[in-house]
Amino acid sequence: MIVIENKKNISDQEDIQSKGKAGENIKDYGTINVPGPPPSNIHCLTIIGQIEGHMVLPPQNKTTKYEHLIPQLVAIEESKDIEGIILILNTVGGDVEAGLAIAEMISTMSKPSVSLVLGGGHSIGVPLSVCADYSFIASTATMTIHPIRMTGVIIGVPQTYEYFNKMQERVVNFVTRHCKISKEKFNELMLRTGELANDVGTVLVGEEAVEHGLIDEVGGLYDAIKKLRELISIGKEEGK
Amino acid sequence: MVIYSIIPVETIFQSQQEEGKGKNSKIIEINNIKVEAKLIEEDIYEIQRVYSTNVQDYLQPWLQPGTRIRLSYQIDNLFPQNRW
Repeated sequence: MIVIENKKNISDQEDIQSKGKAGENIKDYGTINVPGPPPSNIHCLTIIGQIEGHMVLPPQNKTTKYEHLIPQLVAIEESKDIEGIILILNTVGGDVEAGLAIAEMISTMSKPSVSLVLGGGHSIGVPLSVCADYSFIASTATMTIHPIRMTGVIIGVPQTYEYFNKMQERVVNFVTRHCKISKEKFNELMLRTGELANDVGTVLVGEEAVEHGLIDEVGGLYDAIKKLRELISIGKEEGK
Repeated sequence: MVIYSIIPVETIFQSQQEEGKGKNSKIIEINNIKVEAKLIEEDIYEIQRVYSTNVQDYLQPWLQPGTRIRLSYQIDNLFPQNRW
């Protein structure tokens, strides 16, 4: 059994644990328990760094692990108090399977979701940013669209290409199903040359992502929260 | 596994050669909130990151990154009917 004890704020923790002992606290420590802020009906999911999936990445990578996110998403879906979810993205990409799994989970939730891309939403970050009901991008944020790369031992047979094409199709299909961009346009952006230094693909900055129909709107935290509250109230009215 | 990232795969897997330099951090649960804590010395850990979707958890003073906590082990009597 592991016992956790907080060195610095041990009295704080005791205060929290013994909510019913307000009178004793005044008597013993001369302190009162100030009621904390009411629980928020919006939960926030931050997706940062690499999306870590089937393989544990070396420690210098900052990662978001799917085994953390998936149970949290189930808990949010099951909770009676949580009414909406905001997704904050700043990711460089990662595992295709893990990224698509999280994106599918969010897109199939009954509760409204809004995503906000800050900094970057690259590679597998693209499906993750479009999976929400409504998406925002900060005006300075970027999104890189590029093809899946091959690594490791590759057998020089046509089947290798077919396999990678299939993997690519999964991502492209998900993205085109969840935002306004057409498959042709997305493929064109993905295979464009002359934009990236040593790869094919396109970098979309803020407004450009909206122009191409990948993201719904340019905005910030306030816009995202406002939109989420709006979606929550629409959902409540429909439920009546 | 297919990695789809703008970071080159060589960079992602760079330090795999430097084995032994473990992360020294573990995920522990405090009051049902998962946190990642780094080992400082023996039984003292420092909170590095909070894994929670509840925004209120990030405002808790006792979960702020940098807060040090002590993890101690307690031996439970697994066979209470057999007195030691």
